[in-house]
Amino acid sequence: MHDEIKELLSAYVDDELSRDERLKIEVHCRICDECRDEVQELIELKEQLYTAYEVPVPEEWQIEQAVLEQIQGESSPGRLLCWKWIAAAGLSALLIINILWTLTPVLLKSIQVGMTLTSISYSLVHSVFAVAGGLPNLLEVILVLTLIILAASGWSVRRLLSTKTSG
Amino acid sequence: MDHELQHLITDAKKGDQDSFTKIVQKYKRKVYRHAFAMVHDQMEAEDITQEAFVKAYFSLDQLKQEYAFASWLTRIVTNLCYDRIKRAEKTPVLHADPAKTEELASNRSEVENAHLRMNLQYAMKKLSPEHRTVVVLRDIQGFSYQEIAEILEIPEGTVKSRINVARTELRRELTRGDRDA
Repeated sequence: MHDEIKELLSAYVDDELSRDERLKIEVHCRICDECRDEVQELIELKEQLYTAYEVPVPEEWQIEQAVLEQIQGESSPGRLLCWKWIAAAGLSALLIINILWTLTPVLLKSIQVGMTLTSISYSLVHSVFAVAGGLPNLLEVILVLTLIILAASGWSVRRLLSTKTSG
Repeated sequence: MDHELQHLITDAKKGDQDSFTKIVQKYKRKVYRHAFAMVHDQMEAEDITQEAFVKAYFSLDQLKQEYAFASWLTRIVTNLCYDRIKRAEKTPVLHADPAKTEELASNRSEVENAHLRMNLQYAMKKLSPEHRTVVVLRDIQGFSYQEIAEILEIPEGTVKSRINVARTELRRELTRGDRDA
């Protein structure tokens, strides 16, 4: 009971508890010195915190002016054309040109390799079709093979399941 | 929310910079205090305040409900403070000696006050940014648990427990400070 109440004391001094919880604490504090003292300490802490940070805004601080200047600086259209942006754009353009320049031979080579690979695979596919056309009963063979593979997978799945349940 | 502020925000949304200047005037103390309580450095708090208002101006379009302006602005400040704290953790800097504040106090009660303020600020610095934030939002800015939950986009229960933990740690740190003194 005492520990449960202690957990609520902080919310109690903030007036963030339900009516029932408040009552429970008030009844408990009548008999518990420790909790009563803690409530007092917590109230003092809150007040001290408030005063400890009652810091005055620095004199001579022209915040309104500073904010306004920054806003105007950042929203003026001329900002897009300032030297920093031009320099950045120029640099990126140079970088892109440089990369393209160094990569051109590599790109050309890879296009050549790609074309050769395509023509090889094209002729391979062609020959496979030619061989398949020459074979008799191809459809039956494929069917039988599929059935065998299906049966084998079913058998292995069953085996796996039984191992799992037994293990 | 007062009508005047609503008008100011509507006008500022249309690009009226005078209206926005008035909003800055109205909220600068709150924002500065929040930032200062998070970073404990005057210059940095000034920077954050300025950045927060500039950011708010350029994202005013995203503010759908004018009445939620204070919470919305607080979310911007909170995020900026987190960013600064994270950056500062990577590059540790030497802070100004807080004992200087004490020298300024002339009579006994002022010395005591300054001492307490120093201890509290020291204890606050020791909290994690998440715990420090909930204390700032509750005890310095006066937001309710529900508002804090909305600002930080976390459940209300988390707000409650974070505040509880933060205060327990603050009290522990303060008692330790008194003992060492």
